Amino acid sequence: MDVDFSPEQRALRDEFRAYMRGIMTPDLREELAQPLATEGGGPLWRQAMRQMGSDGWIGLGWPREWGGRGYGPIEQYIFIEEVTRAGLPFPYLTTESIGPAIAEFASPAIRDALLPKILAGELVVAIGYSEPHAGTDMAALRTRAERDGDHYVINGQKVYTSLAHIADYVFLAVRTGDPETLPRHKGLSILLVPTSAEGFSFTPIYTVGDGETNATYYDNVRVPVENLIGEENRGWQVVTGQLNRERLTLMNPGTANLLYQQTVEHARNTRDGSGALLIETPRVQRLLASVYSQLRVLQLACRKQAWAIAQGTLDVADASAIKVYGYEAFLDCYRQMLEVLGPDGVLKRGSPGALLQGQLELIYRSVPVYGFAGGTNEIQRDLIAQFGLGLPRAKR
Amino acid sequence: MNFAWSELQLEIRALAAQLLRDHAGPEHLSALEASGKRLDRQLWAELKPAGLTAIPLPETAGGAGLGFQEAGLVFEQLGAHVAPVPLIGHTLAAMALQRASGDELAASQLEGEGWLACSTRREGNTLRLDDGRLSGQLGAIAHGEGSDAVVLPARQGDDWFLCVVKPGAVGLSWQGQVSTGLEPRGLLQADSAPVEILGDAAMLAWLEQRQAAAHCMAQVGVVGAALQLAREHVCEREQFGVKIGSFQAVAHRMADAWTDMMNLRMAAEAAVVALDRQEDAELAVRSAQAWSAEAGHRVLASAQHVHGGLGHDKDYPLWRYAVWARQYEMESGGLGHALEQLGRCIARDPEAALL
Ligand SMILES: Cc1cc2nc3c(=O)[nH]c(=O)nc-3n(C[C@H](O)[C@H](O)[C@H](O)COP(=O)(O)OP(=O)(O)OC[C@H]3O[C@@H](n4cnc5c(N)ncnc54)[C@H](O)[C@@H]3O)c2cc1C
Repeated sequence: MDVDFSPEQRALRDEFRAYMRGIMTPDLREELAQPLATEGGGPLWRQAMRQMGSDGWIGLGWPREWGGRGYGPIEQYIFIEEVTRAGLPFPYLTTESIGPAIAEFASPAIRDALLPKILAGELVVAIGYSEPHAGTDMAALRTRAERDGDHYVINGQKVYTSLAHIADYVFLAVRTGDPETLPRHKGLSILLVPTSAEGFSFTPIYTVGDGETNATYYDNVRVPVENLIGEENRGWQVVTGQLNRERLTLMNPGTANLLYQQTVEHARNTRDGSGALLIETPRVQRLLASVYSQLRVLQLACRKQAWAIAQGTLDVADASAIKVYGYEAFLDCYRQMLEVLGPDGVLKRGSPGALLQGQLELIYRSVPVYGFAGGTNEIQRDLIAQFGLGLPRAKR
Repeated sequence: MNFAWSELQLEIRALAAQLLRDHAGPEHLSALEASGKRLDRQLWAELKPAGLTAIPLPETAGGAGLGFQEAGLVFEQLGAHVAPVPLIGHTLAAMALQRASGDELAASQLEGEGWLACSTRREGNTLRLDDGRLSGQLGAIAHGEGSDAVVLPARQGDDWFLCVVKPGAVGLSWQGQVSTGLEPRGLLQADSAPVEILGDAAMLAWLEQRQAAAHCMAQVGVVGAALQLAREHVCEREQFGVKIGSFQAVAHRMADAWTDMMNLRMAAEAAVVALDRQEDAELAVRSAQAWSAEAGHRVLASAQHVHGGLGHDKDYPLWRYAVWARQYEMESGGLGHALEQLGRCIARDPEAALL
């Protein structure tokens, strides 16, 4: 057993880490600190994305025939760990999850038009699954698409369509089947909807984590049939494949590792009321130890997951356990990091005296979203019970 | 990266599992426990010739010439079968003797049917070296009385040393103790007894890390076996006309136990792997200890809970895992101690503790 990266993988990591220091200019950091820009979308962010594209860092793990660099899941994982550590809001879902789904399932016209743009860092795709009445139970969704000649006509509403306000397309789950003969997940399809299409609109939903997501509306939106991803009424297969690919990105400890590092630095340079360096006090040492032991095991589990994907041996229950645990670990670790900072840790960015630029203040209120984003933890626990433990299936 | 065990490693684990399954089944254990002493000389006599008792020692020292990882896989099976043999103390004492005195002397100590014992405890340890003689007191030495030699720490001035004594030597006396896992322990009184010094505080720390990691691997076995029993039980037991495992509250508690188990295993395996590469792997070892305490505590509480009354019945095997999980949890001081030590380690060298 060997839990470390190979020398080549370490070299790649170091190269990319150094590269990202160049990308994260002070101006870009300033732009990202503006209200509602935490997820990107500004001019400097777009420029940085295009730069990374032209320098060949997007699609590291995509096969060469799609125009990628042909690396495996471990290198892909390294990329994600480092890009999150650098603090760049990166549209992983577009590059790691939707892109590969397009490569696998889309018509040749769509594939040839979109993949190069994703690789160039020029294209953002939003995901439109959730609806006002269909959240965890996604198969209950009602947005409909009717075939009309060589077009689909879409009517309905989605909620929490993140990035729709900066995206070029929405990867939209719709009902195409007759609910009588093809109920629930049997009648779903995926359509790629340009945000420029007539009849598409959105209104913002502002979140507690200073983010913006959207309600999106589809009023007789017409899209050509070639925008169908996969087969009609077989959209569920595309969705589950996409959610599985999301796994590598979801519980990545890069951001937490960075904030832990900054918390350690703070503890080395700050004295408590009695004049002792924080890091010399048993209270702070215990907090840091607890954070380390939790994040280290998450890092190992994520690396093992990437390795298992590379081997083709990823276990459903392992992946779900990382999802469940990652969320619990983040919640607990950010809390303990804030305890290291003390009461001034909750000062917001921009306030005089704010610590770590208010990053922990921000993330501690944002992190609960991981409890359900990417598949709620209750469903993940159901999956662990079913596939990891072989328990009888719970009634739903 | 390679998170798989090699074929040889898996064979060693399977060999240990089979031997322990055959010779330490629940009925056999019950009979032994009824006798009041949880020490199985017959089983020990099976393990020795199979080469499972000195795995990480060079062949020239009477060992199997393998690494600490391989030893860890056998410790895991020891835990999974709650086997009543002095395996961990013996292996660690042998490693210390070989490191201090070389292959030949270690080989001579491993001959015969006996075993070696080992303690690394400093808390409550009043043993002092004076003029080459040992005086003072140290408790809870597992399988110390009746062993061929006991490796233990003692202080001279302000410094700790690692030493070895013959348990029957003049000036030593023993009082029997029993631990929560029914393991025979000994309270040792020394009064100017003959003693040999093996090494300094650095060697003691070296041994302490290995002992802690060994207990973590045994905990992996204990917790894994308890989880397996719980799994089988909730798939069989019915209440309200359905299997209790189909209640989401039960299933989710089991899923959390499964996740704890995944993390404990990851942390413990990373620790034994690190110890094969580095003299000092304290970050990995203390993290594993923290997980051993947390997961041991939580999973056993859940395993007993989903068993209802059966989890307390001494005719059903779960109780044994319950007490041994607590034994391994508390062996080195529990979660607080592990985090205290890990925190000191981070403070000493913060750069090395970045992620
Ligand atoms: C910031 C943010 C960004 C998002 N981005 C997107 C996006 O880009 N695209 C998109 O499509 N969606 C997005 N979502 C929506 C997200 O995927 C949903 O919120 C999620 O699927 C949960 O659905 P819900 O909010 O309707 O909650 P509900 O499904 O109503 O769940 C409420 C609670 O009930 C529990 N629950 C539900 N079913 C069960 C069960 N069977 N057993 C036990 N407990 C259960 C859940 O765990 C949860 O705790 C986003 C949400 C947020 C907040």
